[in-house]
Formats: sequence, C-alpha cells, structure tokens
Amino acid sequence: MTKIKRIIISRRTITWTIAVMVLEFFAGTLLPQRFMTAPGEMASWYGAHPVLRQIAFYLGLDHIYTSPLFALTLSVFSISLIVSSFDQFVLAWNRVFVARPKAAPAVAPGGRIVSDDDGAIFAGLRAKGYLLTFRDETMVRFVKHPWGYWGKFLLHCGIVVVIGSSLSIVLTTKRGQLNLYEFGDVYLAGTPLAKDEVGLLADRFVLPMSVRLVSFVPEFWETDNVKQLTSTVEFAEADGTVREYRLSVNSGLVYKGMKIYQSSQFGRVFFVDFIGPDRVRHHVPLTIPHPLSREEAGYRDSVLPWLLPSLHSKYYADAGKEAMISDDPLLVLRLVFGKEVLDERALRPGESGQLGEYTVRLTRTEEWAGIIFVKSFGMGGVFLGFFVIVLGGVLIYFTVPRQVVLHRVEHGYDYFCTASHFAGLYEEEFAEIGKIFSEIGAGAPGKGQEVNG
Amino acid sequence: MDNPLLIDTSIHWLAVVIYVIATGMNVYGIIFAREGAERTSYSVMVAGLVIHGAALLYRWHYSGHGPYMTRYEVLSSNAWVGLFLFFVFSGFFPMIRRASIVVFPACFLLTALGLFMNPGIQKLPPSLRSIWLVLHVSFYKVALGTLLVSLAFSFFYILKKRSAMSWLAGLPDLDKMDLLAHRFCGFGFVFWAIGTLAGSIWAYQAWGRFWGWDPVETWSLITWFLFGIYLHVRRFHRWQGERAAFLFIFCFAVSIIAIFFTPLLDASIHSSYFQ
Repeated sequence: MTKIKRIIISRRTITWTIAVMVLEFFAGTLLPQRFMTAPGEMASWYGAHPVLRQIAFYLGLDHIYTSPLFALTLSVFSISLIVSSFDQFVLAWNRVFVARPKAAPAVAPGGRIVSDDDGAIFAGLRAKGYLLTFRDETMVRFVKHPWGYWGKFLLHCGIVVVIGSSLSIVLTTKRGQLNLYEFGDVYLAGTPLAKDEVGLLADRFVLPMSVRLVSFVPEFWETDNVKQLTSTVEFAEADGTVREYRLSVNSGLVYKGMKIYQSSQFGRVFFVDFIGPDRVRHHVPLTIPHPLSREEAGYRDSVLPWLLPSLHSKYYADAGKEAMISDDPLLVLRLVFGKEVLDERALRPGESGQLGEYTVRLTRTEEWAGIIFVKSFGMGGVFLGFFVIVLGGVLIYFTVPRQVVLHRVEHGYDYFCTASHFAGLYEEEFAEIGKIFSEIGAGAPGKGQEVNG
Repeated sequence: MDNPLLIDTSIHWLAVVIYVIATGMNVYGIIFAREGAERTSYSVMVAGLVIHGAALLYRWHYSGHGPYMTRYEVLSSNAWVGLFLFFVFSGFFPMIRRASIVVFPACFLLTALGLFMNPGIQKLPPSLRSIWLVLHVSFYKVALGTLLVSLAFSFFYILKKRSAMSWLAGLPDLDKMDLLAHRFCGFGFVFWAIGTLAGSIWAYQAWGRFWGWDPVETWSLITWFLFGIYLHVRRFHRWQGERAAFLFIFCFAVSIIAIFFTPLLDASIHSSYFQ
C-alpha cells in the first residue's frame, strides 16, 4: 500500500501527469474538436487528413476532453492530488502545531544570545513580525507568517475541488438555446430543445414551461457595435399562469432552478414563399444572423429537401446601408450548385421575383433572438476551488513562513533562523535579527541555507 | 485641438519619447557603471509613466471603457501596468532594480508598437460590460508585469553565468537572481490564476458557462500549467540555475502567444477584443 502511495504521489508521476495534460490541451487546440466544430467542417478535415483521422479515432483526439485518455490522465492527477493533499495537511499541521522543529541546520543563520532578559528578546522578535508559537522550559519558537505553511495544502485542495466540481458539471449539466422570433413563435413545454448540450448522465433538456418572445430590442453604438440586447419573454405554466420577464446581456434571471441568459446571437427571420412551376407553395422561414455592420451582410446557407441546389441567403440590416436597425432590410437569395451560382434575387419586404424556376416572395420579416437556458450543479464548487487555489498561491509566494528557534542554554539561548523556502532572500532579515540579539547579548550571524523548517 | 484621437496619440508619443530617453540613460548607466545616469533614468521613467497614465485615463474617459479592447489599448496598458508594477516591486525588493534593463525597453517597445496599430475607438459589446472583465484583464496584465521581472532575472542569470561582462557584476549574485526569477514566477502564477478565476466568473455571468475550451482559454490554461511545471520542478526536482532559466524563457514565450496571438483567432469568443 505504501509503495502504491509512493508511486502515486511521486514527483515524477505528478510532473509527467501535468506534462501529459498540457499535451492533451495542446492537441485540443490543434485538432478540430467535434463539440465545437460544424459536422461539415469535421468531415472535410477528416477527408484532408486521413492519417490524423485514424490516430484521432484511436486516441479520441477529436473529442479530447471526453476521451478515455483524458479521463485516465485526469483520474491519475486527481487521485495523486487527493493523496498528496492529505500529506500536505499533515505536514502543515506538524509545522504549525507540533513544536519540535528539526535541529539547527549546519549553516543556518544563528548564534548565541547571552542574556536572561526574555522580555527584550521576545519583544525584538515581535517587532519584526514574528509570533510566539511555542514555549517550554527548553525551547521557544517564533514564526513569521505561520499561515504560509498551509499554502501547499490549500493549493492542492483547490485543484481537487475544481476538478470534482467540473466533473459534476460535465456529467449533469443541461444547456440549451431557443431561437425565437417576435409575434407568434412559441416553444411548447415538454418539447426537447432543438439546440442543446447535456452532460453524460443527463437526459434531453426539456423546459417545464412554454416560452414566447414578446419583444426584442437590439441597440447599437454609432460605430455599429452592439450596445445592448434586450428581450421580453413570457413563460406560461400548465396551470395557465403567465409571467413576463426582461432579459439582457449580462443580466439574466433564475426561474425554477434554471439560469436564463440573453444570448449574443440574434438577427432577422425572413418568411419567403417559393412557388414552383407545379404551383406548389413552400413557405420557408430563413433565420439569418445579424450583420456586423451596416456595410456587411449576415449569412446563412440552407439545404431544402424539395430544392436540388443549395440556397445561400444573406441580408443587409438596411437596404440603403444607412442604419443597423431598419424596417427595410434587403434579403439576397442565391441558388448554388457545387461552386456554380445558378441564379440570384434581391428582395425587400413585400417584393417578389423569379429565382431559377421558382417565383419567390418575401412576405414578412421579424427579429429573432437567442435565449439560453442552463441547469447545472457544481458551479459554486468551481469558483470556490479557484478561490482556494489563489489563496494557496498567495500563502506560498507572498507570505513565506520564517522561524526563529531558541534553545535554552545557561544564561541565554542558542538560536537559528530558517525560512520554509526562498531562504536566500531573507538573509538581511535574519541579519537584522542577529543584530537585535547582539545588542541584547552577544550573537554571531552565520551564512544562510534553505531548509525545511 | 478638438480631436481626441490626436490628443491621445500625441500624449502617447510624448511618453514613448521620454521612455526612450530614460531607457538610453538606464542602459548607459548600468553598462558603463555611471550611477548618476542610472539613478536619473528611474526618475525620467517615472515622469514618462505619469504622462503615459494620463494618456490612458484620457482615452478611458473619451472611449467610455477601460484600455482593454483594441490592440492599441491592450499593448499600451500592458506596458503601463508592467512598468508601474516594476516600480512597486522595486520598492519591496530593491535588488530587482537592474531588471530595468529588460523591463524599460520591453515597455517602451510595447507602447510604441501599440501606436502603429489602429487607434480608433471600438465600443464595448454588452457581454464585456462587467466588473469581472475588468478584474480578468487587469490581473493578466499584472501577471505579465511580474513575469517580465522573472524573465529579466532568467536572462541575467544566463548572461552572468556565461560571460564576464563587467556591468553584470553590479547585479545580485547568481543564487539570488535564481531565487528572484523563481519567486516572481510564483507571483505571476498566482496573478494568472486570479485572472482565470475572474474570467470564468465573467463567462458564467455572460453566457452561463465557466469554461468553453475556447482557444484563448485553452492556451491560457496551457500557460498556467507550464508555469506550474516550472514551479514544481524547481521545488521538487531541484531544478535551478541555467536549466530553470531556459525553462522559464520557454514558458514566457508561450505566455506571449497566449496573451497576444490567440485572441486573433476568429474562432475565439475573445476575438471581439484585440482586433
């Protein structure tokens, strides 16, 4: 058991595990990941890199953060951290509360104080920020920043808490987005969300209430950058209760344990009628993202089951390109087959025209907005863990513990000074302590050396 | 003079000119052991810092947001924070003063580089209007400032170890420089973690997720882990001296990629800044 523990918390195991994790993160940035890349893009990447595809398939590199390889690395890392957190706790406890420090290191700063005036000696140390942590007949111990001994324990604990909480989120989270347009578009309670991400142990995400977008107000700066997006939504319960709420970016709400956010995705939905030569009418809503500026267009490509070429659509916020919000947007439809453009037609609201063999008519347009719904467990743990990591780091690097140990001898003390780390940076401080002692009795400062005190 | 952009860039240029003069004096003073020149250079640099700070405040006032959106703002404010921190840390650790020979040129180059970018104003998108964003970017700037000091001592260590240039004798001894590089990397590691924490809270507040494996987030994590490896091997594998210095220089190079280059990727949610 001890041997296994030794392997798990060995420096080599830790270093290699961290290194492997860094390599996995690196692979995650170099190779396209399934969860954040469109299926079409993934397919073309697979086609262009057949060898990498094979490697990615066997090692799960195209979904690295849900691959067995990453799970294994994370498990080894976590187990090692948990075991080592316990060890760090024991170590910190002993350093703070178990009074007997190691004997004086061979070349630690120190010397002899020939004085029985404990009051003066202790006052001198207190003046330097040292706190009395132990005193008996034979020994006295003063420590500056004793809380610094807990730094490594907290750092380890914090990482464990972050990993544990993240794991809880990965397994249980439910996150989905509804893209709704004003006037009439309703999400019905109990329907699975079309756009959702759920944790490995979670069911499909369904909302317990119906949702309607009452209004959506996008605001823009004079530079065409988005200033604010505000939605008014209506939640209807099965018992007939209807409640209205306002959402905007960075100002969400909590409803029935769900967090609800205004998405930064929005745009216009264009309702286009396609009438073919056979007089069959197809009513198509085209949901297109908003352009980034009045000079640019928002784009969307669609494949319609009854149309052989693909339909590329774009729109300008204002047909005259003079505003970001307008009742007169310009929709451009293009029929594309392979790389060949077969036909193109520009339409304003109410206009109609010919597109290939279809007569197209833009019957109406509305604003659409994305509303994000999130249900997860463990988020507080993540932030708490991060905070503990930071606290641990602060204790390690900002409050380095230093101790002065005084052993009683006849008519005075033998003393030595040590720092738990960076001892070389405290030579001056130790020299000043030596000077104080010299003034009280007689001391002879030596040269410093880093020791684990 | 009613063109705020012109006023802003003019004050910035004035600061750069002062920085260049101060850096020249500093390098001359350190290399040729002219204490007077070296001492004066610090005062001149502080004057430049004040003027530079005024330029940033003026821009903050007329743009309506802090200097963390465009490349011009980011480079300039990073330089200011780096320099400001250098003076603060010099107060606590006087022995780091001569890191100025690396910190001063780095800061004036960053500021000057910013001036060659588009100084136009970009308005703040709503998702970036959060106190957590301010903390997020501020702590990354602070981290970069402390890592810059660590970089200086890693360079000095290698230089002093490998050459006998007389000006290097004025630096702390090798062991101390090694410790300073180690400790300032520790500071940077902590500040980087605080920046990440603030960023994750901000992301949760804005989008309902604390982590999205966005390229900028992932590279930031890689960098933090690399600094973690550096600190770990120093502490537990007794890596010291040149070996540690070279490892730090590598980690620092990765941090520069993480901070300045990954936001340029369109796939990043961070791509609305630094463009």
